[in-house]
Amino acid sequence: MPTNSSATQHLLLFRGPDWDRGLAPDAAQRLLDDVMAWFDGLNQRGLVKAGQPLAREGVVLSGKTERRFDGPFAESKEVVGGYLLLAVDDFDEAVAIARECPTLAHGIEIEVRPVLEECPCFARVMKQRELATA
Amino acid sequence: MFLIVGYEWDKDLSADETRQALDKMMAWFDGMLKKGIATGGSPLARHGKVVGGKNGSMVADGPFAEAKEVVGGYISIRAESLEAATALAQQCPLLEYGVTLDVREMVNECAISVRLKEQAALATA
Repeated sequence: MPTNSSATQHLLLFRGPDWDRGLAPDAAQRLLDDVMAWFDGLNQRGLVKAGQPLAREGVVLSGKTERRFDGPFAESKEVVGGYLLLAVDDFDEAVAIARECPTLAHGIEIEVRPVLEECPCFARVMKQRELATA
Repeated sequence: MFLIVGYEWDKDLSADETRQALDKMMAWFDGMLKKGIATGGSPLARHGKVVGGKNGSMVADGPFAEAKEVVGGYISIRAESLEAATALAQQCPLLEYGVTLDVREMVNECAISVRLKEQAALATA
């Protein structure tokens, strides 16, 4: 239900456990080749602004705590394993590109999000200010 | 990369408090950009789609997580180590408003590719 039509870029967040689990090495290699071909195709069309895998281990920071993770988090369905920033202004086109990702059949999920110029909080502040001065 | 996790961190703040927090956040981000530490970053719209299943057959409105677990934005930075990146992340002004930062290393090759190469090397050893 995205309503922001002014986005000029979309971010794909790849989530899920390692997709090669349960695959023989040659099957995994073929799939990896398919992924690279998919990525290279997008890149050649000039649609890729940035994109990289993310290391499984990392640090989670909140105001009060610092938590390091590795191992167990790698199993998580939620963990972001990589991202792809698309120079695509049409949300439906970004979703269509995500649907072509070859590893979807192997348990990953892709979150497609419009990239904003401005934080939505800022828009809310401005609106409140307008209401207050009206 | 910093994944900035938490949406609606401003919901219990007054407009002035939110404005101040945003000003601090922008000053922090702009400072990192000017020093060449930050290489990019943006807020994300609250709603999008989640795609899954064979041939992307499942497409749903998402993300499904509660607001505090939704990625609200990201910042990509240059840092020598995870420790150095973490030290930078600790300066994020939004931490005091309940936002969480996931600090993650951007790698050139995915773990699966590395694993396949290792397996191939073992097989031919």
